[in-house]
Amino acid sequence: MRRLIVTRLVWMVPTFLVITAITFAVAHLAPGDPLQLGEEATSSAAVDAARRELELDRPIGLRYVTWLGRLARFDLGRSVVDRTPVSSKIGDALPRTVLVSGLALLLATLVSIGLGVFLAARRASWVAKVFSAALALASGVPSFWIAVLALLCLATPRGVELFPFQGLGTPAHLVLPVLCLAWATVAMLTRYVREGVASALEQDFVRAARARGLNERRVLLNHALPNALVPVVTVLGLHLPHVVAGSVVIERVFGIQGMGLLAFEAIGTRDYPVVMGVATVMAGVTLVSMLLTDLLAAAVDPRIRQPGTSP
Amino acid sequence: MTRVGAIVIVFWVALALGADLIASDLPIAVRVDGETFVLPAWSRPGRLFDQTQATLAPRAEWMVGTLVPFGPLQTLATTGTTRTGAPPFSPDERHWLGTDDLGRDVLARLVHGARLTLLIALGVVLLSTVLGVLLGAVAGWKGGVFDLLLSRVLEIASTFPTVFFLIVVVAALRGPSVVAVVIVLGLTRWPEAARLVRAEVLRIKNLDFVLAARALGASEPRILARHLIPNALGPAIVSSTFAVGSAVLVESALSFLGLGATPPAASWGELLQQAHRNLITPGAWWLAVWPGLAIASLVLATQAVGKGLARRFDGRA
Repeated sequence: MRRLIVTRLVWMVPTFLVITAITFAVAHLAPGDPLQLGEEATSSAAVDAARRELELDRPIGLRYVTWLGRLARFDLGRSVVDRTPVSSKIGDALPRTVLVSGLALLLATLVSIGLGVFLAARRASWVAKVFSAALALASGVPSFWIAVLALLCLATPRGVELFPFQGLGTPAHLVLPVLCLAWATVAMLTRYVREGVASALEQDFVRAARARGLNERRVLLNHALPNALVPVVTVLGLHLPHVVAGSVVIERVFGIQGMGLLAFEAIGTRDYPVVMGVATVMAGVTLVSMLLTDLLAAAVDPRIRQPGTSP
Repeated sequence: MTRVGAIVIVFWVALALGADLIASDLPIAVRVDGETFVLPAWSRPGRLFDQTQATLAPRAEWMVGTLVPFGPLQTLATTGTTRTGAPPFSPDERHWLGTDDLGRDVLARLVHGARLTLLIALGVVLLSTVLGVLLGAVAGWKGGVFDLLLSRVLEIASTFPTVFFLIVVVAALRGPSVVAVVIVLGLTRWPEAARLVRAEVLRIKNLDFVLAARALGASEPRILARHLIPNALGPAIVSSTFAVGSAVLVESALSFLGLGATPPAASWGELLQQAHRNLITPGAWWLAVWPGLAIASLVLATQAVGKGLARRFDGRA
């Protein structure tokens, strides 16, 4: 287990470096710089001074190394627009994104496991068939469409004004964003749980458990489900970047001042440090959560824990 | 289901190709002032500049109009709509699916939006499949350092935060760009095809027909191109069909965010963005419902076709 953690951690370093280097290069090699925007009237001496302060006069490789050095001290620079530290902006935004996506992931996982086990156990019933068809339909329906429709029906004068329209604050604010973000994950994950449990139910160890006289409930939850969970955890890890991407759209629809909106608003002002900071932190968050799902997969599957002993 | 999906895809492709024959500000053919114009929407003759089907109709000797007599860019000023109040207008007998907040016909923008959506989706899938097939095949065939390198690159590409990277690209380009979307999505979505082709090549590279080709002295590029890739392509084709659907989803999400299509180009995601802008007043449901249905129908159709193809390829193996 320790060897797995160490290998994973070591591999995260080059991955992180490549991602940030590409992002850094694209952000900084583009023509023009932030000082050319709306400051035509300033004297060239002032522009030069500001350029020196923002280090725009130095070669890009050097700037990337300096930037990395500062990153190691959690210094992401200052916003070009209002000169506030990027880290404090991210400190405000990140908890909101983590809260919404975390709740959505938790909800989606619980619902998918429950629904998947139910659908596998009652495969032949018409309820399960209706649910399975609905899931297949749901996987083709974009979550931001559902979000716009949900706002229209449940938060505007045209529909029923059950929920607040925009922003975060009360628990009621969280309901629609979390449900909409969980939507896509549920549609995908439930099918994996259903397939996994259904195929586990046909295997010898399940037949053996039934032969020993265990009731169907214990067979399902203690024998079939744990074996179906291994691929589910892996799929969840692969799906994480999509949840992060989905949160950008959901933040926009529901006016949540998270990482997505922060980066989004920084585009208009060409606020590189903010855009770079958000992209970096989100890359880091994604890598760490993928590491966590890898460890979780190892925890539920002994074959991953001890490589080389698999049959 | 596969057949229904195929029909839906053919329907949208036909709409995309024939968008100018279905919804246009200018007619399909018209004879006016002793001169005949065929498909003026394509050639844009100077004499018909600032003319529309509505202004041409009374003057023309004869005219073959389009089903929807509005172009995707035609705003309230030129559609001749006389409704009171400010757009967006709800569906009526002139604008069957309503108008957006500039008075542009929603049906016309849906039909023309299909073109952009399909173009981006096909571009992304083509780029990522070609890249994935080539790299995956070479990695599986060569093995060794190349294979190791590819698996590391695969790992990095699959964790790449695409949306945030696109935000950086759009910031750097000073505006949204369709080409940038195709390149960025294409370059981040090839790992799936590469993984599948690599696994297939590993499976078949020691089979007799490949050994026979080697024994006959075929060159490595020839073995790859004529023997390995054609036989390893099946799973990649199935996955690229599903990829079309997910590219449609991603493209519409990006256009919804304003990171995809460049205004005033018609796109499905942009219509949904307008729906979002007009939620409180006047609660323009028609801006939300139609483009969403279009996206969902296309995505579900590609999934149905993908499933059908998967079944066929499994049956062969």
